[in-house]
Amino acid sequence: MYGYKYGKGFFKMKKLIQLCMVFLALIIFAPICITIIHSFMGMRELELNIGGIIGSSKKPVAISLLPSYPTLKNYKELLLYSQDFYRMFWNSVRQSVPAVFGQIVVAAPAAFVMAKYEFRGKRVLFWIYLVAMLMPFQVLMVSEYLVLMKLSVINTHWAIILPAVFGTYPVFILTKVFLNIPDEVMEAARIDGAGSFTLLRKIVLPIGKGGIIAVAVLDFLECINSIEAPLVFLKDKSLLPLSLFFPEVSLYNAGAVFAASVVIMIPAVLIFVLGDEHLETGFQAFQVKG
Amino acid sequence: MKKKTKKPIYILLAVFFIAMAVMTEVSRIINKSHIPVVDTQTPRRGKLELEALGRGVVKFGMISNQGILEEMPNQDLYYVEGYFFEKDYVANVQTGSEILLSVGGNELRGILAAKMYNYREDTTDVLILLPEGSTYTAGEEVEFAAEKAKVTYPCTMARELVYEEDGNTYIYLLQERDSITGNITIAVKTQIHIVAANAVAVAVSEEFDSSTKVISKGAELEDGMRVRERE
Repeated sequence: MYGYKYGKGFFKMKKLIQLCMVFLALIIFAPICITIIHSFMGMRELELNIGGIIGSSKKPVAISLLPSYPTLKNYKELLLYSQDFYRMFWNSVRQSVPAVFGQIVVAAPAAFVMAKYEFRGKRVLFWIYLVAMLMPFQVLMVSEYLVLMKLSVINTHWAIILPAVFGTYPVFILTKVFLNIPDEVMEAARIDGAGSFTLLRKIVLPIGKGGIIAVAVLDFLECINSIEAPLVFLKDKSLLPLSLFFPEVSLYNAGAVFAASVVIMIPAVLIFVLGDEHLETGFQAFQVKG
Repeated sequence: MKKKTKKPIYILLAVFFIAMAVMTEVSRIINKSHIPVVDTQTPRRGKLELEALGRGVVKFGMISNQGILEEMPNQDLYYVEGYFFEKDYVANVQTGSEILLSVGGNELRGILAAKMYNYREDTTDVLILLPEGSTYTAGEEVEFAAEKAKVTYPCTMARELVYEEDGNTYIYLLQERDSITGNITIAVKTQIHIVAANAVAVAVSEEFDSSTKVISKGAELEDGMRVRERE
């Protein structure tokens, strides 16, 4: 059947494209591999390989596929002696988990109203959401700082959690997700006597579960990688999250930095794997209507 | 089917968080018990009382700010013209420093008025003002020997901080690494060059700023070893 529809040229082209894709995937995957490999290298080997970048050496950078003298010293240093690493890790958890939870609690009802109710100024409101979503952090930084200062939460975990909870981006995505829920289902529930809250709880949330999980996963990754907000809103070093764990990479600590990167990667990858199917459905829903 | 494939991921995630919680405690205990606690001292500008290192003669004349103009009898000014054979000794001694002298068996405190390196003799010629009010033999050359000198050096530290190894001298500096582990402190072996020393203190040619912390002896130290400063 394929032979009838597509010629040999098509398959050759397809293979070529596949090869290109594999090559691109390798390029994207290379930093992760380099991080993992270098986390098992000693200081001398790191100096030989990347001394040209982070040390005083002027040697050209060399990338090894395997460490010549594998060592767990970096992991030992990080996991046994670096108390700050754990402090910052738990700070990240304290900031990311409430932020993601709060985002869903706030964004889901807002998106439900945006998607399924008609009211005056809805388009304008949605447009405002859209504009606010497109604003980079630097634009809102000062105003956010002033608001947080008025609330007396600067230099506390709340300074990171609150702006994230009231972010516009989850509302935008969930609106697109909830728009996919057929109006007939909603109507049927309404006829059965369901109020707005029941509709949200019994119909919208279960059907839009995939989108909500997708938003949660993306938000979690964004929160845990956030750099600008902690830098601006937190002054106390004891409150900084893990994303600011690498203020100064030198040859002396490069191995431990690589090891820390690998450890930090673990929860992010696991959470991504947990939510990958939902991410797909979330993006699909976003595509259909968006 | 899907639930089966996801279960190990949930378990892994739970294990990761539990491991992190356990390791947080382990790390806290290890940091508390296995890292030596050290005391530190800060090098500072100070005076060192040193042994004799030179000789000269008592002279009588007039000295201006620029040095000796000419010998002028009947002027009420006595000084010692001499030299320090340990030129390194006076390298860091500033003019105006107080120097202890022994003149005719009497201990005196003079003021270093001028010094100049003598290339021919490889010594440092000095001119020391003698204090007024004492009796000297005017015009008569009297040999003197500086027995002790209290000299100000820009950087001094207790002798107990200094380690000697293969003819070289070292100290261990407490340095904070503001990187991977935020606030860890380590001992950094640093070579120093002693320019003057007595039984309790040394003066070094290196210039350390006021924030430098030198680790006191006590714990067995190695270069790069993690230490904790006693609070």
